[in-house]
Amino acid sequence: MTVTVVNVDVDDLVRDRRGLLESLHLTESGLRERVDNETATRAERTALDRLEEIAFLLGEDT
Amino acid sequence: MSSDLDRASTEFAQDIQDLLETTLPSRDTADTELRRLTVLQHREWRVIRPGTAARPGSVELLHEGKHIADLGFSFRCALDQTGKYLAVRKSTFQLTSVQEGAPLLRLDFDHKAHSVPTAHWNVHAERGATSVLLARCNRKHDGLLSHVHLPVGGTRYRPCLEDFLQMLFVEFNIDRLSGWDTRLEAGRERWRRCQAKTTARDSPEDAAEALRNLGYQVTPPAEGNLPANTNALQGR
Repeated sequence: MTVTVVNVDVDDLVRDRRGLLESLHLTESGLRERVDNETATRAERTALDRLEEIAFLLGEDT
Repeated sequence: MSSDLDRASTEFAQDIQDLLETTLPSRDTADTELRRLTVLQHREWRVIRPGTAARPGSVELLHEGKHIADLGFSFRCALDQTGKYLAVRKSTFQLTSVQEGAPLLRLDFDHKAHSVPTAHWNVHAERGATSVLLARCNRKHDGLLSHVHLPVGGTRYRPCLEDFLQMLFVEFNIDRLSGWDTRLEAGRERWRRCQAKTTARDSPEDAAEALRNLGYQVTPPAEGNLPANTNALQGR
């Protein structure tokens, strides 16, 4: 099985980040707090992973 | 430089994909796309993990053919300080039961971590005595064992994905394909050879001394001995 390579751009990443937080009705710090307190759902954990990787890809947290 | 980075990150991802394909069985009914790794590329940053571009995924773990847990992992990479080699900036390996969302075990690496060890386990297995001890000794701590960062060798000596997989196979008796042990040993050897070279660069004089003790003739560069990378040697 061959890996998939995807080039992403800033607009996509920023749009994804905004959409994720809007769909969860949470701020990123609120989401992180739920994960830290172990009250987060699996979907919320996945969302936080995605937010962290978006920050990495944007060079904000490398 | 970008093409070198693209090639190195794609090769690294394919090595991991091949590792999974040759060690972990899948259900006949499972969507094979769930096992496919994605490499996300943006400028000098690369992310490697299962899942689609927009949604991180995980790899099913089976016991006697039944899906009982998930392996989540990601590698966030860039070129190293020399601009020559692909370096993992952050990585996560985690085991999650299908019965609950929180991970059971998580092995994190963050090359720039300071307040916690760069490589550490978080174990989500609460015990009253641990909470009491934490609360008694450290009033700033919330008492959760899962919030204790268990150090595991720093940047250079941290466990690799092969170590994590072997733990799943040996300790949890997760289903595996025949030949898994040979495959893991080969991957672990590749990882440790790579780390050995990096460690030699961290401490060139020690590396030279060790080689001289083995009978090699080692000559310092014309500009003199290279300095040790004390950040790497002292960092936790």
